Amino acid sequence: MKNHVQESSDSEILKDRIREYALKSGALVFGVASPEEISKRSPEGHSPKDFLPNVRSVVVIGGGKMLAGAMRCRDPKWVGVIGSQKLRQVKEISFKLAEYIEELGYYAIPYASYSLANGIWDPDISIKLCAELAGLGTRSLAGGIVLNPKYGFLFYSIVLTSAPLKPDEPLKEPVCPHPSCVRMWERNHTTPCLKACPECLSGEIENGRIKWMKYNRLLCYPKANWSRVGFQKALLDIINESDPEKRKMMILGSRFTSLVSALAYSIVSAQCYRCTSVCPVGREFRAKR
Amino acid sequence: MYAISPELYRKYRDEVLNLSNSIQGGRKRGLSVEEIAMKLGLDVRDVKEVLSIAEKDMPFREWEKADRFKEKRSD
Repeated sequence: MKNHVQESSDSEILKDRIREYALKSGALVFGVASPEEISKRSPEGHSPKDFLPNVRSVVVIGGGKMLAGAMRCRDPKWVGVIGSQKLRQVKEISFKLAEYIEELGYYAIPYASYSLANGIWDPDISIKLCAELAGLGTRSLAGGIVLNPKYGFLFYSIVLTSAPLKPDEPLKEPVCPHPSCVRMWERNHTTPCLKACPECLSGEIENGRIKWMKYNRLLCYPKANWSRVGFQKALLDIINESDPEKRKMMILGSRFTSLVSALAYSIVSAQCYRCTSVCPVGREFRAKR
Repeated sequence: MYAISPELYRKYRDEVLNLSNSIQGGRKRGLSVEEIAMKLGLDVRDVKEVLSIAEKDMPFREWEKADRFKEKRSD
């Protein structure tokens, strides 16, 4: 019994130290998800244990709150660049955190969205699921983005570790829909995000809760067109163009130049942020003088 | 470089997309590539290729349309 109490207390101290380090390093929110709970909800081959066999805890950090100015910026490509930079910052924190956990004597490995490294959008582990189970937010009408109750849209990253940490509980109440969105729905049968992006998003609210939502990633995809995917599409069009003069116009034109520039500087404007910039959750952090 | 046959792609494109996470919501979750392969009796590698191509397989004008959409970003 005494050993159990001691272990439990040690685990709490360990969690506090890791949390403190994460927050000091720039994370805004911190939580722990149970690998077993993640596995129960994941397809085979996509569990934390498939990634790190002796994993005992999944640490989830969120951060990279978008600059208020970016949400008002008139150049959507630049907003995307800022978003990519923010995501990079959160990834860097998770890498530092993993190093710190290893200094404490446990195995640790960071995992963050690394885009199309596998060739398809099929992550090894669902970071959204981890964030939800760690109690950091719930999925929203806006493409299933996990909204944090305090900050709204954040980027998340995880660290799988053999450190025994007590898991947090998922939130009891959904963050989305916000009360103002419920009122808007009752009046106009829409919400700020659905109105902002009717192509990618659809859904319905009933009794103050999301009744259903649909996110069409296929349509959202071209909106991330300042990236390698846009480059692939343009390249195909250029190769298929039989007129050499036209091909020249296409290759030297502004569209292709912009895509080549994105590739050259590793820029992925992966989101247009229309849905998140109008979301009322975390709005107070986007209000500046 | 490995590439699937255009026939295989055309045959399974819609089904693979519908089963995947490309369109989210309305069911518990999209299937993983391995699960789709098992369901359709296909090779995992082939499903991955079908999905990779299908997700980008729309006319470039869609990309241009999206660009204009973003540029018209409202307050």
